[in-house]
Amino acid sequence: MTVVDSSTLSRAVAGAPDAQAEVLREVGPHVASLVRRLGEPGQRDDDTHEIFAHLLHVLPRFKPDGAAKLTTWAFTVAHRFLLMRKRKPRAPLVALEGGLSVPDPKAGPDESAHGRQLAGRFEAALARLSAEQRRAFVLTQLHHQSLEAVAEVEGVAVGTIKSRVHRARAELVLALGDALDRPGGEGGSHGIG
Amino acid sequence: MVSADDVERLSRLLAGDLSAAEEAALRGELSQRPALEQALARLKALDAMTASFAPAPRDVALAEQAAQRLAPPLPRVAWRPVAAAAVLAAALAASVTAWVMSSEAPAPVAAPAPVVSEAPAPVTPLASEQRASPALIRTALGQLELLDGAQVTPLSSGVFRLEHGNVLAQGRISIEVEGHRIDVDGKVLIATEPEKAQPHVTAPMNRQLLAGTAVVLFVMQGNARATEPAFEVKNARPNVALDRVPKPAEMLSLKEMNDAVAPHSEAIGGCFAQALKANPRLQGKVTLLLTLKSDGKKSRLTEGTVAGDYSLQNPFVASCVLEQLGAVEFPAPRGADEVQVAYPLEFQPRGTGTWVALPDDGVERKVAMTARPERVDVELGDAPQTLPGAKVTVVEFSEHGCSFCLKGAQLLSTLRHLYRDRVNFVFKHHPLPSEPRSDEAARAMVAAHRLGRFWEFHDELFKSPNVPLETAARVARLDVLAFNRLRASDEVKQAVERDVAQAQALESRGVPSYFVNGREVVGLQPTELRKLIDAELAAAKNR
Repeated sequence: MTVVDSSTLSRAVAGAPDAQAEVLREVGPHVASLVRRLGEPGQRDDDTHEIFAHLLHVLPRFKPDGAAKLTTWAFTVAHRFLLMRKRKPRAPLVALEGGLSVPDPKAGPDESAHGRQLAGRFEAALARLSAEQRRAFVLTQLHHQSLEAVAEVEGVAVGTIKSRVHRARAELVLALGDALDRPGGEGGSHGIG
Repeated sequence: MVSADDVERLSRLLAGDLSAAEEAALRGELSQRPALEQALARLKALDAMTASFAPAPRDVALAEQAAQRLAPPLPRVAWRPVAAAAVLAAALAASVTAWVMSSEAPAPVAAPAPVVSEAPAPVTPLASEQRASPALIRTALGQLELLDGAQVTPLSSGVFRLEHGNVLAQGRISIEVEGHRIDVDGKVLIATEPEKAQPHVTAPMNRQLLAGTAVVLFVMQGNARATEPAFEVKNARPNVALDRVPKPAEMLSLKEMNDAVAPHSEAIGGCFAQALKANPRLQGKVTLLLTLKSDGKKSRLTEGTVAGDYSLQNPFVASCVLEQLGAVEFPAPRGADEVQVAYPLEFQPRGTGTWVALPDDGVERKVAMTARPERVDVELGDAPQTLPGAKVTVVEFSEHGCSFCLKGAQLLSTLRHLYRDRVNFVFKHHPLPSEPRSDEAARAMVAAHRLGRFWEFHDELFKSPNVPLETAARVARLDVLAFNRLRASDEVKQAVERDVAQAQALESRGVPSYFVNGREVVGLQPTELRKLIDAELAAAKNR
């Protein structure tokens, strides 16, 4: 994916529709996948579009030369937006097709089938986490947002987010069980520190 | 048993969040409890999985949808007001990077930045030496005053091309300059040498802003409208000192671009043909912004994107075309190491083929056609057939596994019933390489065919995506032993491979796809399919 260059970004901040479209192409997919995991069931597409609109509305507040990267800023906005949503208690989420990600083209047929299956189970397990744990896990582990940024939006201490992430990881490992044992699952660890 | 607390401690261990004492204790435990070791491996596997996360295609599609709504295709009107009629005096200059005064599409963001907008900028009495030789061209509706040694070429009634220099246009008159056409209705100074234009206007010019601009309009009265040139050098990184920046038209001409692209136009048309299969109504224009980097002798595409003014609503085509252009050797732009050009392409379906038009450069070019014969021969071989010898044959290429194939099978069973005494339905295998089960199912279907109960087995199999093959075989009353022996045989495997090779030779790239007397329908399109069958039946009746 191309990274939005600074002149496009400035024009987007100034309200140029084509530049804003570029920004959406850049951050939109990540925001959409965030909403798919953290949003309310049945509302996700609506929420996504609403958040897109909101993002563009507040885009003039983004400082292209500031410290925050565009994606980080977009995640913070989306995260806040989702937190403000006080909807009726959620029903358990169901895993949808589309899964975790596109299958790795390098993987053999068997591995890719396994990957899809694992992705489905992963989504289901993720949906069963508490909302707090899920937010912490999804933002820090899937979208690589910093603990500090997430803690700030959640309004809790960094340590609290850390605990939630550790707990979420533990729950997921237990829920996925031997599905994680297959080849291809081994690999480096990036921790959460 | 490993508890959530245990795994949480492991998670903290991996993150380095444990104290030295806690860590030592946990490592001791790890060596004692294999289950804990296993949980640690799983935790690492979870990390590996989440580290490589990418947004799913549907997320990308959602964002693309929103982005497309934001930057809708430009209206077909090509005019753009350069200055509103109400503004009596507005001096406009092109932005430095844009070279020419056109802006990025779409409106309403206009790149031309007003240099002076409040102070009226009437033309001063011309300096004496300039007054000595002003050439004045009168037209029916206006006049053109040539300043500063300007040179113009009349093109048609009321239309002139400004070759160089500055002109003062009054009344209704049109000037072509640097690929733009400027329609004047009022009084406008058009300058290709803005540094010489200063004596003609009272307002001070922003020299910095003017540096490197190709055309400057000073609108003194009324308004001027400029068209976007189809092809345009938008940005460039010059390789010469800035005091003599080459003009865009000198850097790279449209003809040179077209000459480079033309040999590849069939491949480009192929991109469109591919997309057309899924959406037969697809057509339109797309302007590509190509960044070409020169090595002194030739240039290559280093980056490409789509400008906002597209009417071809299909991102696949653009990305495929950009991929094709990656192979093109472009001429090296003169005086620049790197240029960005706007290059428009137009796509239209033509009969059974596609048509791609390169931007018009005045050269008679054969438009590229990627023709696909309306009918292709589909060899039936020993594939299962419902009514051999019928005048209309529908060959389905499908596989067991994709959700549309399952729906396709239901559709086909309805059609088989509906046209049972008129149409021959034939099934061919096109299993997806990424689906191991799909290949197994294909072999099972061939085995069932060898045992003479293809359709029974097919119908049973396609009832559900997960039905075990043997169960389906039993329900279809197949000899399970023979069935198992056959589907493991090389002969059956080769039969499937023959079908796959045939599908590839027919360039059928999706499942399910159908050939109605050789005319292809890709994907599950029940209405389209029925229309074709009815048309073929009607044609057969008249024969």
